[in-house]
Amino acid sequence: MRSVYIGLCFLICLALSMSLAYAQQMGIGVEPTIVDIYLSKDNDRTYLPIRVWNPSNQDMVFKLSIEENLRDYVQYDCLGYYWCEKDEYYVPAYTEKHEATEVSVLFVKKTDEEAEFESAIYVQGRPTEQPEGMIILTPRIMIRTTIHQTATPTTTTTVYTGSAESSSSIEIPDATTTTTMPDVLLDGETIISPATTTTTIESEEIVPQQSGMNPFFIVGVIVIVVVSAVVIYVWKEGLLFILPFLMFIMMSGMGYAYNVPMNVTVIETPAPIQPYQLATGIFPVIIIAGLFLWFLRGLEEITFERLVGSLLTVIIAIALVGILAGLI
Amino acid sequence: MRKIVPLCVLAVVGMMLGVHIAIADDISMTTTVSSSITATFQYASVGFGALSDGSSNNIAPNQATGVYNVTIATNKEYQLDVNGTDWTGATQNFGIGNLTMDSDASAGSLAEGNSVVVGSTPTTIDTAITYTVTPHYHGFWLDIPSGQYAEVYSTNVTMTYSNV
Repeated sequence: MRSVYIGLCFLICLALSMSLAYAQQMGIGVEPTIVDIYLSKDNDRTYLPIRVWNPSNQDMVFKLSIEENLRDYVQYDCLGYYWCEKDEYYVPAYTEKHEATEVSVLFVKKTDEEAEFESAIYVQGRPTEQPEGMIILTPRIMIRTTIHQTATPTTTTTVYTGSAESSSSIEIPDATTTTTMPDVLLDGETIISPATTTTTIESEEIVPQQSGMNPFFIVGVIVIVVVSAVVIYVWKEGLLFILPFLMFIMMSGMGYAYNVPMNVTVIETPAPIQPYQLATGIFPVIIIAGLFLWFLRGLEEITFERLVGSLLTVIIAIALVGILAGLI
Repeated sequence: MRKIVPLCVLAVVGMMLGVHIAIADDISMTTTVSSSITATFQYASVGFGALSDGSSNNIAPNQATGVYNVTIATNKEYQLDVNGTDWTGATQNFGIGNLTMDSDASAGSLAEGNSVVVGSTPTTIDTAITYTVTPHYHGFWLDIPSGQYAEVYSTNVTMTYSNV
């Protein structure tokens, strides 16, 4: 009889543990949850990648919805790569953040007027096996969204791929997503390929990125090449007094070439040459020029007085530029 | 004189290299970590069982043991908003406002006195919850209007978690 009671207790415990083990869960994970969308004349379209995952023990179906005031700013793509109102995303159980499904929402600039307002995108989930009960729960995550639309071009984050003085971004795996997405048409002319760019999700702004050769770099290089050719020519012709001025012009060219990166993203006005940059840049030039002229002392065509005069001209010109740059 | 020409070219190249070395600027680096949130509900529905009309503050079964809980994993403070639809039966309805809800880091601290009425539009149940608070317990209380028609009623409740 005693063994019967023990057996019954065992069965009850087993039933309880099984019921607990199979308690229906619902999981929903979202990143990012706070985003700023910047739209301007230059960036009239941008996409927001949203990562979703499901750590629960039940397969889930996720669906996105947006606030009404966001409706005009979202472009629906029911046939392609971007979110469409009808889209539902099946996310299997036990998926973690690094296995997330990515959903992209495409934002477009609506008008030419300035606009700034808060809105929200919702990621809502439901289990594939519908639960039964008096209160059926729907889990939902809200993504706080702020739209910033400017009438004039906005200053955007610039990520340099070359060495340059600038603020740059480092990649953190969870904060940065490298995505394979279709081309985005910008301004009807420029095509960017997000597949070849790394999108850094800044909490304050998300902008499409554009790569290309910086024209200022080309100008700088051309100036250096042209002036180098002229230097050789004037030397051959004995027109040494022009040399200091040519050096000055070439320095300007080098300033452009070295201070402006070869490749940039989202080209804005390049950073102006700072006075301290000019000072550190011209210091070796003065030394080299001085050594160069000192070397020429021994040549009979050039007098020592003329060389000193040339050197002084260079120094005075540099000082004047430095003072002007400082004043500016 | 002709020997000087290559020297001149060398000097120009030297100048370029000198300037290049001299312009080694400080680079400021910044980054922003994205906010993310994962909510794993340990329950999908709540069953109150049979209740009498005119009864109030009917507590959800087994609530004190913490069966209605959510595990939150996030890297920022968060809040919970709740909204629902009216209770509907086969023939009759009654308002969602008869349901109240509380949320707390401890199941034992759930109290009807702290609960908030659930409405048809999102109502904040708890805000600025520290992101280390997990799991998170829910409590429900239901009033049944007097004379409410006897049948089975149900409702859909949407629980919205968001970072703040």
